[in-house]
Order: sequence, then structure tokens, then C-alpha cells
Amino acid sequence: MIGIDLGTTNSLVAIMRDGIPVVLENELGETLTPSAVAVAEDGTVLVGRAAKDRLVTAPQDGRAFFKRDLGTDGRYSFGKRKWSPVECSALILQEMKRIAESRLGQKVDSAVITVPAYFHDSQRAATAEAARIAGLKVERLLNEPTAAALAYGFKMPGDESTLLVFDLGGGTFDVTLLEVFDGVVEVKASAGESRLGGEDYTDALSAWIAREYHFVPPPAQAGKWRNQLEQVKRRLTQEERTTVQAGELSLPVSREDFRAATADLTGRLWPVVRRCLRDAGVTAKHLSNVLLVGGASRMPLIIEGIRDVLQKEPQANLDPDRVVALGAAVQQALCEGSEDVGDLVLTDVCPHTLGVMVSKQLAPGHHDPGYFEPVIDRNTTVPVSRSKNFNTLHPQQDEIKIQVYQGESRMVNENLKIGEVNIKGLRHQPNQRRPGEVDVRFTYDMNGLLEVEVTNLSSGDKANKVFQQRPGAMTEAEISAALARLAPLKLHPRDSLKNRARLERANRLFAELTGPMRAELSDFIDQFEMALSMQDRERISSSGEDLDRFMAPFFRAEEEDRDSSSSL
Amino acid sequence: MNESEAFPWSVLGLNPTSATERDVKKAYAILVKQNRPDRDSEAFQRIHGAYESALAQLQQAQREIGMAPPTVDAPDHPSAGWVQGVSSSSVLPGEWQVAESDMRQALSQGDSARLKEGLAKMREMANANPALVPAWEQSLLQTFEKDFAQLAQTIRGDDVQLMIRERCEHLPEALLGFWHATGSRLPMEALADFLIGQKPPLDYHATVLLQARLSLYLAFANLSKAEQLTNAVFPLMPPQMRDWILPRLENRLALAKIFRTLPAESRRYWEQNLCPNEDETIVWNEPELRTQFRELTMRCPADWPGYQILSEVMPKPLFNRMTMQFRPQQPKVQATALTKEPTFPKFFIHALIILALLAFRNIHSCSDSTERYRSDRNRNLNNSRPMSQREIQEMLDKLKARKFNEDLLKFSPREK
Repeated sequence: MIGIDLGTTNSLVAIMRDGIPVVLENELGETLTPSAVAVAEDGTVLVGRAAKDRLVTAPQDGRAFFKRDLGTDGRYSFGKRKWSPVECSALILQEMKRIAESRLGQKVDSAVITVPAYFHDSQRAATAEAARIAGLKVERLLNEPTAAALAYGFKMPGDESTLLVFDLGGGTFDVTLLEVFDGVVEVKASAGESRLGGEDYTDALSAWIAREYHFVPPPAQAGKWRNQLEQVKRRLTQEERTTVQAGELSLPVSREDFRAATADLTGRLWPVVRRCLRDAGVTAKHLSNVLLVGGASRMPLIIEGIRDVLQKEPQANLDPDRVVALGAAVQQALCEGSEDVGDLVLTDVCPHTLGVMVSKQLAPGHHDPGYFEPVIDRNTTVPVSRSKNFNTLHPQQDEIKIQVYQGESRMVNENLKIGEVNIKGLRHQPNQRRPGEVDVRFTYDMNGLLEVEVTNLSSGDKANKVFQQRPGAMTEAEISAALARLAPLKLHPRDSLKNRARLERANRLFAELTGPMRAELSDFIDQFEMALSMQDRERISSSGEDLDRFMAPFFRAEEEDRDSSSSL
Repeated sequence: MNESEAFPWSVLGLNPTSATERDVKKAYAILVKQNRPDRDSEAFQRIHGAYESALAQLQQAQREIGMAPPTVDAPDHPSAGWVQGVSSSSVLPGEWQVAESDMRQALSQGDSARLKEGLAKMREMANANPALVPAWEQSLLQTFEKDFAQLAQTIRGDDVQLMIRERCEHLPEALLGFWHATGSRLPMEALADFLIGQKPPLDYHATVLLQARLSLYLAFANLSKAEQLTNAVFPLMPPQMRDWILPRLENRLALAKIFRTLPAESRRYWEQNLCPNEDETIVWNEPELRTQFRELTMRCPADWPGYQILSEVMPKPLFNRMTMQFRPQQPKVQATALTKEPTFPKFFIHALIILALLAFRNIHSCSDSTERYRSDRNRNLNNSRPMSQREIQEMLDKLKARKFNEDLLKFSPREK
């Protein structure tokens, strides 16, 4: 029914309306809902803008950027309990589902959810779990750059083009090369890094200021400081130089400073781009278009870098913030076989190499274990089924433990272990045609599900395993337990969501102001809180509007930044 | 390769003699819409396999008739034509041209002091302005066309590094071949260190090939460095390149691992004789072989896996003659373990003695190998064993044709 872009910084939900994908607005009239979860003083759980604003004044009471920890067993503690990244993501997905339901006026129970192309299996599994906890059936986990290309291909289906999607989001970086022709969107190669994004650029800027100006904000101000740096980053997309307020001081920061401070990060981007081109067997001059996706791809240093490396002017005729969500909506329509999308076909690749551990034979009887032998190479079009034959190490060996790994390193210990399959009965016996030999077949489907089938070629026996449950994956019982844990959470009453967000915003402004302005704001907040506690609708709305009027000038600059940058 | 990949045309319903790339794409688009990947996985795989192989066949055909530019050498090489752009003399600074002609003159007159001076001047200019590096590379290749040994002696490690960084791989490749042929281990190790230390790694198509080739050449000379470099370059290889190059490289490393216990000089001997270049056949020179075999049997007990390999590679009678003449010692440790000593202390004492003996042997062989290593180094520094004129000529011929003896470079991305 819906397409969800679950982002590191912001999340969006989109649907097909009258044959066109559109992003839905939340109650605050915003299409971007911050991926943040926080707990208010009264113990209610805040999600989205309200949570993000709360994090500015009370960073210890919530969490953002949890997408980066998906697939790990990390835990956050805030609001008197522990939270897993999956639970936090589930709350965001629940919120997306709710927004869609309130806009559509009907129940929503399934979704296409986008993930970074370079997410590995446990990260994908964690995303799927979050969706189930949020009460959504996952129709498809769609790679983000593929979604972007789908939105593009949907808009211009007739054009025959070779497209590079450069997706630098808040926390992840993906590059995908696609061909679009005759209503076919064909992914040729994907490459990426799952921990490199706009947030790292903010960190680097903060580190640079600490080095250059010896300024480190007190821990209580960390959230506010981060917000300020976020604004600096945005302003630098428009201006050559700007300043950042650090306590009493106003510190100048220029584009050049920012470029130097983040040179290491930017340097990590281009090898990924080159690898993608190399894997696709395409040179930069074959590209007809470079598509920018993700808020961080707006930074001038990125656009200049692309010009330099690819000799191409990147295109942003689709909004980098929304294009992934739009693509997810198109995919949803495809899954439903809807008329809207006609006969658009999408093919994708598996971004990682899948293989097994082998021992290298030096000479008969001498072996060297721990090598990675690829079975399905990275960037093979899926669904795909490939097999390779292997032998036992010596005639008396009866059992083989096929250890399945994913990764690009030559030695298995640097790759990710997915699981293992055992097969027995391999001891050599007289009159066997292929003694001690096994055939290992990997079958990889469009959802990233891997099936491994091992056949004993001498006896014809088979052993197989479907790797649905990746390391750290939850069992059915664990998912119900997680559901039970989240159920009693008191989410903030929806009708007052707007008020809650308004209050958090005011608190944030309060922390930023000084002197008489601060005192004045304090009065407005008091009025508003009093109205809230009295639950007097009329007074709430009038004092709320007063508060808004007072705050408006302070936020105008910020909103202008946001608007102008999203129209890039 | 399955049927649809071998004969893709019938699957696509096209005529192989007249179909164009556009036809293939059109036919594929129609078929794939009837057999969507999420509905009918098997049919899709058949169609997709046919599509890819039809495209590959078309591209191959185009390459053969010379319609398409040979993108195989370096699909990621910058499109800007530096050869025309920079090395055309009009763009080069006058100073550069003076230094270049100076250097040539000095070389023809055998004036080594002036030669050095001219080289230093060019080096300085190239370092100051990386845009000059391609011209520098070309100029060096042309100047030293007749005396490659001289170039190898004059050029510095950081010159090669600068060239590689500036995407000028021809001279480094030629040097690599030269170093390998002359057994110059040190510059290869230095280059490997440089390549391993690059963050982010140098990952252009040609540099990836260069690194793979260096790993291959270093396997016998310095196994751990070769392994390190192979590990570093493995993730950079596109899958097609991995299929093509890796088996050969892994074989070489496995072989080198077996021969690792030998001193450098013997390793080099066995490398030359076990891993000849493509177009060469092994000729076993018996007196030399006898020396090497004596060394081998002194160091390696009978269960050393290398004997098995030699027995397969060498002509049977020759191998038998050698092993008759120089009998490898029976493996001592295994023998002790097999004689089931009834009383523990006695066995324990035996074991101790054997361990001590082994330790002594190890120390001995260590000092031995360092000595050899030292002499190895001297040899390389003085370059007292230059290539023969014939070898140099061959190398230059290959260099001109930009085709090297290693099949590593004859890689085409679509080849299977």
C-alpha cells in the first residue's frame, strides 16, 4: 500500500495517487519526519520532529541516527529502559504507517521499505523485523538507489540512458549504475559504504572547530551545538563563508575550511564510485546522467567532486530528499501489479559476494585453511542460482562443514559469516564415480534471501538450508516479545502532537536565546503550558498562536535554509 | 555456460548476423516483461543470461572489426587525452625541452654526471607540476629505449610512485618486468610497501592489474609481502578480473609457500624453473640442478610436499636420478612419534634432544639465509647481473607493442 524511506536522519512515506507517486505530509505539514525517538518528562514517547527538538535540550532522553546501528546488538538507555535499534526503527515505521492511515482514511498493513544498497543481510533482516513489530508486512526491501532510479525511470521511461545514482544520505553512502531502456530499469552494479554520510561530515566539522578554535561545547550543549553545525553545513551550500556562534564568540567558517576538514571523508567516496564503474564495465564517458540522492549530496564539494571525477554535471531535477520515497511508492504499485506503472520492469543485483570457506591445497596432504571462495560474485543480477564443486581434503574425511560467508576479502576472517551447512557420507568408497566431491549451489532471490544446497555427488544425498535467520536475527517468539514490550508504551496523544512539537520547539529556542528575549519567551511558554494543563481548547489555541508568532522570526532563517536547499 | 548463454539468439528470437545492440535490448525488454524476475525466476534467469551473452558477443564482434575503441585496457581511464594534450611540445615549458635534449645528449655521450643533472631537473619540474608527469614518463621511455638497465639504475622509487599516482603505468609496468627478470627484490618490495600503504587504495583498472602482477612477482622473493598485497588488491578486482587472474596468482602463492623455507637464491632458481613465462619452455640444466638439489635435500626431509610437485614437473628419469643421487633425509619428528616409546621419560628426553637439534638447525639456517639475503642485496644494488641484450630487446619490443609477456594484461572484462 505504501512506500517508506526509512532514513538515518529523516523518514518519508509515499503513495501512488492518480498514477503519480506523492510524498505524504505529517500533521505538522512536513514531508520529512526526523528519525528520532525521545521520552518526555511525563514518560510519554515522542517520535519525529518533537523528539528531535527534545533531543536538543535533553540529549540523554532519546536517540537519533539509530539506523546506523541496525543489525548490531547495541542498546540505548533512555527513559528508564533499554531500547534496541530495531525497536526505535519500529516506532518510526509505526509513525509512517499512522501518517499514511490518517491521510488515506483507511488501514495500511503492508509496505515497500527502502534500505541502503550496501546493507548486508543482518541489517536487512533487522529492518524487516522493525517493520513486523510496527505491524507492517514487508512487500519488498528495495535498495535506495534503485528506488531513486525507479522514480527516474518512471518519469522518463522512453529515454535510453546509463545512469549513475550517487546516494549520500545521513549515514550511508551508495553508488549504483543502471541502464534504463524500453521500460526496463536494469541495475548493473552497486557499491557503497554503510557507515559514511552527512552525519560524519557534521562530526568532522565539529572536530575541525575543536582543533582550529579550541572550542568544545559543554556536554549539556552538545545537541544544540550539533544543530548549529547542521545549519552551518546548510548555509555553506549557499554561501562562501559563514559564522558559527560558540558561546560568546562568533567563529568564521568558509567553504574551503569545510572542504579541508572533511577531505578524508570525501576521499573515501571516489573509490566507491570507481569500483561501481569498474564492476559494471563502464567508463565515465558512457554515463548519460548522474542522479543525486540524499540530503548530503547537495554539498558543493560533492557536486564539484563529481564534475571532476566523472566529467559530468550532476542532475537534481528530482528532489534528492524525496526521490527514494517516490521510488518506493512506484515499487509498491509494481508489486500490486497496478495499472499506473504499466509494464515497467526492475532488475537488481546482489551487492556483495557470497561464497564459502575453503582450504587451499599446497600439495597432496598439505592444506592452508581460511580462504574465501566466491560462488555468487557481487553485482550479479538477481534472482540467480550458481554452483561450484568442492572436494574433501583427504579420502578418510566423512563430513564437510560448508561455511557460508559474505564479503570482498580474500580471507574469510575479514568477511561476514552467514551460517553453515553440514553434509556427511563423503568417505571414499570403492567404485565411486566422484568420491568425496560435493556440489554447492547458492540461490539468491530478489528479497536478498539465500538458499544453499549441498549435493554429495557420489551418493546423490542433499543437504540444504535457507538463510532467513541471519546472525542476530530474531525468532518468531522474540518478535512477539518485542511487540509486547512496545505495546504498553504510552505514545503521546495524537491530537496534541502539534502542541507537543510546538512546546519542544519553544524549549529548543529557549536554550538558544539569552537576556530579555529569553525572559519574554519564557512567559509565552508558561502561558501555553498552563493552557495545556487546563486542557482548555480555546486557550491552548490562542496561547499557542501567540507563541508561534513570537517564535516565527527566529525560525524563519532556518526554514528558508531548509526550503531553498530542498529546491536545489 | 549453459545453453541460453552459448546460443542466446534463439532465446531472444533474433538473427545473429543482422541483430544490433538496439534489437537485443528491445527483444529483451519484451521478453522480460512477460517473464518478470519476481514471478518466474527460472525463465528470467534464462532470458537474462541470453541477453548478457548476446551483448557480450556483439561487443566482441565490434572490437574485432575495430568499431569500438578498446575499452578493455582501462575502463576507468580519464577520458581526457593527455597524450595529445600535454606531451605535444607546444604546451611544454621551454625549460623542460632544454632538460630533455640535455639528458639525451648526455646519454649518447656517456656523460653520467650531466645525465643525472638533467634527470634531476626533470624530476623537479614533474614533482612541482604533476601535469608534466605523463610527458616525463614518455620522455624517459623514449630516451632510454636502448638502455633500459641504465633507466632502472637511475630511476628512484619515488619517481615510480609519482607516476603510478598520476596514472602513468607504462613505465612502472616495464620496470616491473625488468626487476622481475633481473631478480631485483628490493625495489619491488619498496613498491609493494607503497601500494599497500595507500589509503584509499590506488584502484584504477591499470593499477589493480599492476598490483596483481607485482604480487605474482614477489611471491617467491617475499611471500608475506606478496600475500599482503594480494589481500589488499583482492577487494579491488572486479569479479571478471578475479576469475581471470586469481587462480594463477593463488597457484603461485601456494607454490611459494612450499618453497619458502629455502634461502633466497634457491627460491629464485626454483621460481624461474617452475614458473616460466608464457612463451618459454623449461630447460633443466643438469649441473645447476644438481647443486640446487643438493641444497634441497639437505634442508627438506622426505615428506616435504615440494618433492611431489617436482616429481610432476620434472621429467621422470631426471627426477629419479636426482633423488637417487641426493636422498632426502627421513623426517625425524614423525619417526619419533611413530616409535611408540613405552616409558614417558625416555621418550621425553628423546623429544628434547630432537627439538634442540631442530632449533639449532633453524638458527643455523636463519643465519645462513640472512647472509644470502645480504649478498642478494649487494647484487641488486650494484646491478652486476644486467639482462642480456636479447632480453632487453625483447622487453622493449613488448613495451612498444604495449603487450607484456604476462597474460595478466591480456584481460578483457567480458571474457570468461
